[in-house]
Amino acid sequence: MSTTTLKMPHYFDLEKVETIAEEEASLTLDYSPPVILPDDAEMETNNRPAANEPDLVAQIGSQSRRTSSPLLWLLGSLGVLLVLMLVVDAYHFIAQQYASSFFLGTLFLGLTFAITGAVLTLTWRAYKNIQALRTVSALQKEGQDLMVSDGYGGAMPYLNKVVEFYHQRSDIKGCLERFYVTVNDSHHDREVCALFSTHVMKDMDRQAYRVVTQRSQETALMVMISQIALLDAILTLWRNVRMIRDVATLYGGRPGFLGSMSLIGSVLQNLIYAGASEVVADGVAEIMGSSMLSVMSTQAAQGLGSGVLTARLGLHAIQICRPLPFTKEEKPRLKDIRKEIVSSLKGVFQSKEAKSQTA
Amino acid sequence: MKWISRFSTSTQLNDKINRTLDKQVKLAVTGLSRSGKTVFITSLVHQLLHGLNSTHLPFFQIVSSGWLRGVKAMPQPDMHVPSFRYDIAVEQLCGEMPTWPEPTSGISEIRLAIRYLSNNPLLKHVAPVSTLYVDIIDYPGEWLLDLSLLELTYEQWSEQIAHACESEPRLSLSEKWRDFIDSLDPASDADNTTMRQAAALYTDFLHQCKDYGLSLLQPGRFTMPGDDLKGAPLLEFCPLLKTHEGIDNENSLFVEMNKRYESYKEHVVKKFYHEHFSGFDRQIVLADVLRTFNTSYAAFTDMRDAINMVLKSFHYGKSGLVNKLFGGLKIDKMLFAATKADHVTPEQLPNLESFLRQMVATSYNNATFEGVRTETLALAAVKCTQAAYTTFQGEKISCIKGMPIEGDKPIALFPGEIPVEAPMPEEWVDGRFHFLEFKPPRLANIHGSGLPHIRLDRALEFLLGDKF
Repeated sequence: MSTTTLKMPHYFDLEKVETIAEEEASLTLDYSPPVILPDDAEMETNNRPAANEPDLVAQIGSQSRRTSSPLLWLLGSLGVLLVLMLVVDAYHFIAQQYASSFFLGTLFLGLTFAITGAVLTLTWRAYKNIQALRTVSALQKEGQDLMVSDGYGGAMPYLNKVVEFYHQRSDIKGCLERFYVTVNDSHHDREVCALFSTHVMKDMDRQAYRVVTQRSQETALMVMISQIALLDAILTLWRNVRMIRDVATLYGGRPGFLGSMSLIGSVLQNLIYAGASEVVADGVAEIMGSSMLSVMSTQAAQGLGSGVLTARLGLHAIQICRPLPFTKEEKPRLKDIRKEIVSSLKGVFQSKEAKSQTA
Repeated sequence: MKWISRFSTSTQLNDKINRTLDKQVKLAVTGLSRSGKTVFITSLVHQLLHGLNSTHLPFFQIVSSGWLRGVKAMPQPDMHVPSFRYDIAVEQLCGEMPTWPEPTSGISEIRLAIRYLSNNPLLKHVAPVSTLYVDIIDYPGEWLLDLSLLELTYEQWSEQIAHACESEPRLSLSEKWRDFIDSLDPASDADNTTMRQAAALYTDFLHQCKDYGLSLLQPGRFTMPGDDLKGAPLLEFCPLLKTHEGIDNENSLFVEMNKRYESYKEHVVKKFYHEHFSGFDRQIVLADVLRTFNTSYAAFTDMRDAINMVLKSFHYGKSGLVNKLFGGLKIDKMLFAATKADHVTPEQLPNLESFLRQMVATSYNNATFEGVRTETLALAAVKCTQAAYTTFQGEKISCIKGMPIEGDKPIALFPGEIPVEAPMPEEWVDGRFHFLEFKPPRLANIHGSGLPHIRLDRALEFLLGDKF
């Protein structure tokens, strides 16, 4: 019955009304819109299935990930066995040393403590890294939900979380202030997210894009110049790992070794599960682009190929590390990077030719 | 391209090149009765004039990207069209005690020059700074409805009006005029005084309809005479309700009325389309949907029919009657906007938009078919309420706060929920909607930045965004 009265127009006591002051709105708007139930339940059922679909997919995804639990058991118990053996061994070793000489025993004990401490801090950091990555992916999911729905009032609490993620960054403060001035109480979740994207994330996006372009150009050049296949592979791998770590650092997570391993894992996974259409589109572009270059040289074509692959990896890394999902128009495109790689390769050729001509 | 830029370092040549590459767009603004055209144009001009380095148009690319190099009002190109008095309107809206500007009747025009950094890869080197001239033309929506008269003979039109007057609210509103018309014999000799009287009564009837909240008012010049037509005989006719077949009296009332109707079509309707309508590039149609919610189901259906008729006129324009008469219509984009979006709570905006979309769904198809890109949007040219929330019966609910048009104490209210689909007539219960009129906001920084608005930037992006 309260819903029927709610649906009717109603005046309120001014004293009891809290306005969303436009400056404050950015920080204190932690409310979800009131649930005004529709007259008939049918309308609800009409709207539901579409809204629920992404959730369903996510559930299936998380279930399939848990199927490998026996393997986890095996690995876990093996790990525990190893650690226990190490502890017992170390204990015996140190006790033995103490038995022979007090000085040696103390030295080895200190060393053992130092090693344990180092391992623990490293593990803690890795755990933190992975945690940060998890936060990013949780934020991404929340952002995606906000951007597809037509809601109101949900964007600010979400964006506050994103801002918190960046609280130690001073370079986004100015952008953030500009964003808070721009956004007002009539903007919807989708609009607020888009505004945040253009006002705050744009600089980071541009830097990340530059990193990816640079690294892919480097890879392309190195592969083109080097004559040894094994060296190619190592070079590419090295540049790629470096690039992924750079991108992640740029977007706020500073991955250590374990963190970047798991990051690389998820980037590869993303790459594998990328939509077939995207792969086809990229592939066609790549073939067309390289055929043009391969007329000039097979090595250049190889360089372009690995450069494009690096760029593709880099773009996926950006997508994984950015806490706010991209809107359709903002998504960085492989096409543009490919053009830049081609032009840089051509530049090398031209300068070579010019040199040979002058020589 | 290099040699051109080298050439164009001389400022004179540069100027010349710039001028030849300037672009021009005619943006027509119209709306059904009292939809806030004047406020819309005033706000739009105000936004653009304060657009440089501003934060209030985040979704208008040219402004938010920083390519804008300034906007200026210019002398209008068409000397025979009255000017839109922006200065007066803005004074009223931004004065010490702001009031809504006086509504305009008839056509008016204002020209803005938007100077911006060109982003076109080809033109960037030739003319780094380009200018887009935007001519904003304001005309009553009623004039647009007249286009459908071109397809109708006098008999057909009379029949249509007679049919409309058979049901409420027109039945009671038209009583006086019908009584008078019923007392006349269409076959009798025409008499100037009677005709004038009949036309006056019919005009009164249209005015009453307008006050009630109806939108489909034909002929449009009766309520919005515009230029010096007041008192011209071609405005002194009205539909006849009785059957009028087999009249052979050359001087009969029916024949004379018919003559005037035809001359109205010839000299008013066709002239408007020939002189103005065919030259428009972009069109925005404003509608005050909330007022019809307040009024009644009849007002709502009337507005729906009127809007669909407006959309149909583009169909005529592109491939139908008008096209045959005057050649192709230039309009390629049209925006339907529900104004006064600040009168609903913000989370209802999508509802308002989808409601509008459903209202025009059938004609949408026609316009799109003719190659006119159509879009619907809920906007507020001047935002005069604030979103707020309160606890009501233990639930947190959203409401709006503003200064009502009568009274000087701010109020907070929840004005009712916008239905996503048109409610059935019997669901249109009293007190379901209560959309109040509000006073324009008093703002300290009114001359420093643009007026507060809702989604005006998105309207601008749709209407002008591709011209840069």
